[in-house]
Amino acid sequence: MRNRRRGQGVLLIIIVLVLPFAAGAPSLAQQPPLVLRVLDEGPIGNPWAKAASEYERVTNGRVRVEWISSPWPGIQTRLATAFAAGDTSIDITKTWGGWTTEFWPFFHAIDDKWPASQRNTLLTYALHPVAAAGHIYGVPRHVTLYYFYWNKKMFQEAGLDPARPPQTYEQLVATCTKLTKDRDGDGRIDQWGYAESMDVASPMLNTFERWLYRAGGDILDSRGNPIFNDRRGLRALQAIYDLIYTHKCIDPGALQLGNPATRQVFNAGRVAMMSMWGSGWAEAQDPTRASKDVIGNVGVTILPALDPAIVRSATIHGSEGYAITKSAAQRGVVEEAWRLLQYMTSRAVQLEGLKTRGYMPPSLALYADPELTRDPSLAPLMAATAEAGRYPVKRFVWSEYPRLEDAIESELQAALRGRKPLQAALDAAATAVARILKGP
Amino acid sequence: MERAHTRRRLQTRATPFFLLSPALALLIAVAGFPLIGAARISLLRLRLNAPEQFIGLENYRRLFSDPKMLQSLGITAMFVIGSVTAAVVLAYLLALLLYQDFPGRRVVRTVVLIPWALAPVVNGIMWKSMYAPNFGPLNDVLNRLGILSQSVSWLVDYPMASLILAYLWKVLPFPTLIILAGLEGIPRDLYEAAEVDGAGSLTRFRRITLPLQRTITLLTVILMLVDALHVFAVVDILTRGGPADRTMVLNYAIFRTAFRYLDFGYGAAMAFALTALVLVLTFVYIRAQSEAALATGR
Amino acid sequence: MKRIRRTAKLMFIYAAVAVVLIWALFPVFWIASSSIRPQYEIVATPLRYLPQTVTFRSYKTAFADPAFLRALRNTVAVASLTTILGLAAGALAAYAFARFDFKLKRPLFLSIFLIRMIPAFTLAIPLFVAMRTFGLIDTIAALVLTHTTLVLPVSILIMRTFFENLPAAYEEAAMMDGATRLQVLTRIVLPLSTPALMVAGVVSMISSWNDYLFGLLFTLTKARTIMVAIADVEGAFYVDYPLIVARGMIALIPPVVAALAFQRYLVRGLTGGVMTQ
Repeated sequence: MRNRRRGQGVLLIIIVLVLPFAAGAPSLAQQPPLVLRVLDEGPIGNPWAKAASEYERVTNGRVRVEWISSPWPGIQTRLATAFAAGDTSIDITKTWGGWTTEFWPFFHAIDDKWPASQRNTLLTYALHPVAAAGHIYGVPRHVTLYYFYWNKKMFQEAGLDPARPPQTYEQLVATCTKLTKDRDGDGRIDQWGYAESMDVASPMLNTFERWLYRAGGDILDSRGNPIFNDRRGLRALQAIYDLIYTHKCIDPGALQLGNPATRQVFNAGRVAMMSMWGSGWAEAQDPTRASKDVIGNVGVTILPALDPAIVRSATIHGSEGYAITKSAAQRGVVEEAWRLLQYMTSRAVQLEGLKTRGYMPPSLALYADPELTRDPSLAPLMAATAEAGRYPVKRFVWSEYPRLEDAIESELQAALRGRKPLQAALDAAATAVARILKGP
Repeated sequence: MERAHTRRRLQTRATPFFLLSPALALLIAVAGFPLIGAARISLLRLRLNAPEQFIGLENYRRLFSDPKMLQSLGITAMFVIGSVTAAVVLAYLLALLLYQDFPGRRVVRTVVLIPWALAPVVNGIMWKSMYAPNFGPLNDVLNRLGILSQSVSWLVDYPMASLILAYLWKVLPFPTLIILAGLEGIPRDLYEAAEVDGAGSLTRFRRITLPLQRTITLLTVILMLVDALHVFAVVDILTRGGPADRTMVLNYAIFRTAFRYLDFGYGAAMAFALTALVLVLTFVYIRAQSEAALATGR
Repeated sequence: MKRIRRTAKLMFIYAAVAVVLIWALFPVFWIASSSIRPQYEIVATPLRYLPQTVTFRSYKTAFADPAFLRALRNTVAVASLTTILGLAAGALAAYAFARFDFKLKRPLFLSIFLIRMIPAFTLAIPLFVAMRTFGLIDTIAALVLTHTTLVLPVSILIMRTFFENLPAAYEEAAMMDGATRLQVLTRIVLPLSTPALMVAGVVSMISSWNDYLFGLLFTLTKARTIMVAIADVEGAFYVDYPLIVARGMIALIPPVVAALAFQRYLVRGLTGGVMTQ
């Protein structure tokens, strides 16, 4: 034992003696690169990951970016474990409203990087998902909002004007029923009028939210009490219920369809209209994803009104972005991380995300950029985004978001499966929400 | 002479511990210590956005006043009983088939392992696609065969059955393999002798296979029980415990509490409660089995 | 007469085999066919099971991705080491439980089994802390240790059951001839229990192969495993299912090849064993 310790001591002395010479040697003249670790989805088809590796070249290898990738639900598991275990290996992480509200104590506030003048250059509520408790923790990479898509060819086949998508609930019901049919005559409906994703977890809540805001309601009031079970909430839920069961023009199977599956059926030409994120547009242009009958035949606009007297439309504005962690701050690499993030969210990267995947750019200037507004493959989407901005609604995010989401969603599922009266389900959800917000 | 004898006895006494040492070292280092850590966590109020706080058995007390807990227990029981019963019965049939001597047996034996080796996430995506309402293969096949006349939303209307099927499909090779290995261990001449005596194949199965396979069956049931209680990936992708919590098995509820709600203390308490429950169940099962064995005189 | 009966039996067997193959392969076939065609075809009416347009885009992407191939290599290494280590440590321990009576045997056995009972993710946080303390984060060693430990209780239980079912007479005879316990184990017990070893081996291999949680939590970039890599194209707003499935199909190859190899070994072990003499 003593021998080994002596051995270690000798080794240490040798290292100390040799080090100055080694440092002076030409082969080691270059400093080791600064490593920034980013936790995000995988790099394939990911414009930000591509930009990050470009950044390595731009800095001549001074900065190395390690891309720690995981499926996006895994990011939350990883963050939870890392933070609970006091881990310091992550410098930058992908985040969105639901995560920022939970993990912000482990993020480094960078309000000083976002002067008021800078904030105005972003789209409505773009900073909201990287902000919590009055501070800003990161950089938005793309904004998220819902659009209304319709298949013009199917409109024509049904004798509807392909240039006139439904603008009100009544028009939606009328078109929707007309577009629902049994094409091959085997007694089973094989073309549905409309689709909204209502899968377990966030799609269900998001869908309810969009109808709720259009009914003039809200999830919580200004003091944080649940109010989504009032008559406006009931009206919203009834609107969805009726489309499924009264007008029978949404496939009840939509209750098990997530957003990707909803895009899939729309882009296969099996559903005539859908509400979807910007990714719906990108996929409708992609020949590996959309059928020939669909490509070039899709229109995009703002969501139809539930009651034009209340509000013409309401999408749910949110965003996803990157947050800088406290451990990055402790390592003293905030400036470097910020610079990397600036590069990753530059105009060129935002454009690539928009064109390839339908990730809507957070930068306001792009929506007035003639290069984009005149591009026929982007113009309708840009116009719809600008128009949706006239009816801004913040996507619901609150602390304890996952718990709230699960509580509301499970009651809505019960209601829309016909297992519970709508009002009773809403009341039960509101009680659960109140209990969660009160804390244990 | 005397000393040699003592040494020999000492050696014999030390041998089992010598044999056990590598396994024990690993288990203590990699699982034992973390287990103590987890037990400690179960006594804390550990949230990310607040300092940790020792609250004694509060988390365990909370279990008893949590209405979701009881509901989840029932759902877990349904899932476990359904899937373990089906798995053991089907595994027996499959193992008996693969035990037969026929050309191509080795390839078939390998092919049946494929579901087990399929990545859990791909298994989930696959079944989600199989169960797709309206346009999924399951609906399509049943419609073409004339069994269904309308499409079914499997995950909405039959979430538990759909979950069990998807789970069963993936794990079936596991019990099959164990049972098959057990069958291989029975000397074939026993069957030949019985056949000469004129015993039919059913009689041979009942009189030779089952009794000799008793411990193997017990082993299979216990391993499947544990596996089914720890079901995760297929729930996460197919139903996420829904719709309306109808498939909220305990293991998933624990994951959700700890990693989604970030309530680590309560999540750990739930995990230990589940473990205790499994231990009790296993004990009861083993005891019942040995008593049955005593009663039949075997 | 006998030949007719044999033929009838064989036909019955093949009919059953056909059912089994459909059960095991149809769903896999369905997604495999989904992985080589454009997405819209998957939900076309009427549903077509064979692709109309064939594209190998997903497979090309997967094989051109060095991070994916690295994950594949890592996982082969982790699963093999886990299997070897698990079989070695597990066989010794199982033999101790099967053939010896010693103090604390029962409580020891039960506490080993207890470890398998606890949901794995309960151990995640304390284990993460430990791995970090020893500098094992993002190393293959972290995963091998974790996987081996988690599968040990199962393989011990499996092997113990099979060892107990072996007739003790052979071992006693060998001991009479002066063989040591270790020799008895390696020369007699292990060759006799090839089926048990194969089961325990396959169980270890597959559970290591299928692990997602620890691969996700304990690795960064260097030691990343296949289960994390497969689905990392699953984004919140864009999911490349064909690519996920293609990667899943590629990830099937190593365990299936290993299982085939195991089968050969099993057959040889059985015919070379004492049992058939």
